[in-house]
Amino acid sequence: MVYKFAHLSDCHIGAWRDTTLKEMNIKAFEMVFDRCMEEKVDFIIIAGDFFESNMPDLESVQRATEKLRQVKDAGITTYIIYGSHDYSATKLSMIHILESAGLFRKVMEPQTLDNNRITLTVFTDIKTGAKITGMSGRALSLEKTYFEMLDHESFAELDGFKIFVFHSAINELRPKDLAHATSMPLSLLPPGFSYYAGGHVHSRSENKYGNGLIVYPGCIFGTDARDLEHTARKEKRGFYIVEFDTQVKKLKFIEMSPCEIISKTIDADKKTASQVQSALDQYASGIAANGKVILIRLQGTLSAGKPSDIDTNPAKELLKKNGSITVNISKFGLATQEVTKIAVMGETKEQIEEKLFKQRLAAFKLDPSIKDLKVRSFVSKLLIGDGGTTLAKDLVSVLRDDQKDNESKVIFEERIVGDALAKLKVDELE
Amino acid sequence: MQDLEIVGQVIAGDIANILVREKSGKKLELGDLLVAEEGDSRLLILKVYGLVYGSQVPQLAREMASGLKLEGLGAGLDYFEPHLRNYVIAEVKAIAQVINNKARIPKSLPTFFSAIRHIKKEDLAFLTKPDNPIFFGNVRSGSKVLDVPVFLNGSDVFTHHVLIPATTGRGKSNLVKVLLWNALGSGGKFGILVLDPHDEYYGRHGKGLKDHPSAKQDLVYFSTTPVKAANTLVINLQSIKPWYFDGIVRFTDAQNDAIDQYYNAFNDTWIENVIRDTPLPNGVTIAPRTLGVLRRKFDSVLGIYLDDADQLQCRSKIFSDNSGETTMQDIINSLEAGKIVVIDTSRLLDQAELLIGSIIVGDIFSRYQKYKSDGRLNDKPVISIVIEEAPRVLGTNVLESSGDNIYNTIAREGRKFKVGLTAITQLTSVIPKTVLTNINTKIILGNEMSVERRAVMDSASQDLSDEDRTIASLDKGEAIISSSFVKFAIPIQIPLIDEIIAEDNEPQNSPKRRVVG
Ligand SMILES: Nc1ncnc2c1ncn2[C@@H]1O[C@H](COP(=O)(O)OP(=O)(O)O)[C@@H](O)[C@H]1O
Ligand SMILES: [Mg+2]
Repeated sequence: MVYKFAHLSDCHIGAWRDTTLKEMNIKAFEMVFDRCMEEKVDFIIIAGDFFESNMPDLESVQRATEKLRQVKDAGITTYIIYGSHDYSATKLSMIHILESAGLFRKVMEPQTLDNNRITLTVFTDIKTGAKITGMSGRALSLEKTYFEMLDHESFAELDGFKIFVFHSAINELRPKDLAHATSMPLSLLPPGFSYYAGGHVHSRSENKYGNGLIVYPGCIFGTDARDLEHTARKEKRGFYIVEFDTQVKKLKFIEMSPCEIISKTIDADKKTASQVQSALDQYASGIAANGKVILIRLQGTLSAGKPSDIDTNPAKELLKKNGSITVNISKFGLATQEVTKIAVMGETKEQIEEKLFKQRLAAFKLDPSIKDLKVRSFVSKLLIGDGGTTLAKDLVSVLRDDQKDNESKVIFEERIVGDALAKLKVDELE
Repeated sequence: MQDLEIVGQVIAGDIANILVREKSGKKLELGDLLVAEEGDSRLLILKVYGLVYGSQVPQLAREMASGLKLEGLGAGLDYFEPHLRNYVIAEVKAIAQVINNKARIPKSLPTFFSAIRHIKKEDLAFLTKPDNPIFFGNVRSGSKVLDVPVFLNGSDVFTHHVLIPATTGRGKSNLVKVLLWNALGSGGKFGILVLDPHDEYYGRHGKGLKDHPSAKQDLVYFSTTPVKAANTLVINLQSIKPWYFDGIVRFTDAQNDAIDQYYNAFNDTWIENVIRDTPLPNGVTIAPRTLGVLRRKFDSVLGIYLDDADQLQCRSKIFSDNSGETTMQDIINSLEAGKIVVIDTSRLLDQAELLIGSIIVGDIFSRYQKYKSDGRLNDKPVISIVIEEAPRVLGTNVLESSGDNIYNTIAREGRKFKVGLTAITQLTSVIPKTVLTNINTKIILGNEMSVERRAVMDSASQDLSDEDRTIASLDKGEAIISSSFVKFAIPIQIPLIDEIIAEDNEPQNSPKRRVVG
């Protein structure tokens, strides 16, 4: 008997401040779930970061709940793990609430074997007999420690079709642009599973591991300009449908896109501000913008004039008038020779932030008078190198969060402080 | 000096060979360190290079006396006060003069008739702990180990290159383990790359570097067959630049030309395109034979070939066209973060191992060159590259037949960029003198081959011409450090790594972890 399941990850429902992109993201998720029902999959696996945060805005939650409910009514079980975004160490999370309502089945259930070892409960899908277990993602790739403690032996005897769900980047498999992200070695994945359903990495990949497959579907839409640029270039977005009996029989990627995305970099190097201005205007007038998301990046060092001399509004207006659903023209990559020193250049806002954090953190040194190895290790993991950059980015994203409707100031403050403390992992410091 | 301490007295000789009469029963040994006190806070450190008999009794008389005894004719016959008439003369040489706790090269003889004693801990108080200390072992006087640890400034030593010459079984690997163990505890001061063809450093099967308390943060292990939590050694073909083959694989001019063409046309995917026989876009054609030979070379060195389904395959699984994209960066970032990176190359063919070494070393070197020109080199940890059987890359014949390679370049100019070599070898004599003299620190272990001893001594920072016999007789773990960073060639005893591991690993209770999610 051949069954089939859907594997998707990184829906990040609730992401985006731009309302159009936020809507596109949710739409992508709805399309994926509709397709799952059409295809009559036996179950669905979500490999983490279903929501953008532990407590996303209520409109988004409402849209997600509705779809989950339809899927459930169609007799399809949805298995899920937490990702690095939608879990909170100190607060309740929406995933947990929806699980209580029976819309999800969370497949990470750790059991302590001894002080240094854990194992994970293996769930059996009633309809297909598939065995499913998994390891949730945590902020700062904290789950790596859990993986180190994970007893591989305890899965040795499992038979049948076995799925391991995880939300981590793997050193050996990650793409070049994630070279600086925290990640873990392949050898921490327990061997012997038929299918490793991965999440966290926003690009798609399929790899062999023993007799099994490690598959990352990538995000379904994306959460930042970089993701969308990748979509515009070559990266296909969507999810996998996997047919199996005791092994994978067929692996099919279903491409889905709620809208077309166009990304363009205009080279500003050695050009004057007015030359770039006309290049931008000319480009804007030459493209068929209808129904598309348009991302334009101005990049390079101007030979004369300042970035502020370039007015992006005419191009924006024109593209909007021609039917573009959202336009983003970025000047972050522009520099000028007129200013003596530019501290940081980057392509997107996020990259600039990241570079700045890196620069500052490079100067940070651990106080040599701290002798306790455990404290040293804790602090250096948290602050030095990639850990520090991630933490800084996480903190900024927590602090950026807006007050929610119906949320009193006091509650809002409490939530932000709580989230920030969670990112600082104060609960780990016993 | 107290009478009890006296072991002998200077009686004759010259600056190169001072003769000391041994006090009876003191049993001086080859290699013993002795001291002649020269007044307040001045002393000379002497080392024993030879031992001969001395006697007041003429040779003929001694032969006669012995004959009588041996043939049973002189049962009661004995010398009157024998210890006064027959004794031992030690041939010694001053190796250091200490004035006010500062050591310098000795330029004078000890006072005639001055009394001599064994060296004491206090005499060596000038051996202080420098910045960036790396522990090498304890000072050794003959075969007696003193309670005086020898630390050298790791930054100096590693950047100015280290040579570890010895025949098999004399403790080279143990020494490297000791050095790495100590570097691990240094809090990220040294980024050390270890190409490990015997997979003996990490401790896959027994004790090893993985047992260091800082191993989790500061040790990174790559293997083609990784243990749990180790990294897989898989390198994306796109990380391989044409010049990495320099000095490792020989190409003809025609082949080099073809490589250049493909690299210019396809950049990082040049190897894949050579293997797939992709036509060059600019209309240039390459003789099919040349490409054929290149493909065969890639097959034999990298194990890369096209299967029936036109998929790129790698026999050894080390090279890949779809994974390992960040492996090189991971390794180099780890080194730059002051970690120790051990690469198990035990399952690789020689050339593949050298190539991987060359890729990593080339990348880190060019990164450090860039840091230097950006003025950022000061903040970076020192890099050392540990290479076993160094003549494979530094041998005269290799350098002559395949030309310069990255290791040779680093031997010559790495020091300016804080990148050094730690070269391990059984055969010093096949490494060119120009390279050997660039290697500042030599940790000389036992060696029974005189050609090899000669090559080591000839390139040492101190005059070791009298040490030939000592080096030949060094036991396991006994060594002599010769370096411009020490005032004299220091005899040391290197500890056994197993003992250090046991000492540093007092069991401790780890806190209970809460696992959630
Ligand atoms: N410092 C030492 N003290 C005592 N024994 C040693 C020491 N170094 C090495 N040995 C012994 O010699 C053996 C060979 O040492 P090893 O380091 O493998 O030599 P090499 O690498 O030169 O072949 C080791 O197994 C060990 O038992
Ligand atoms: Mg050895």
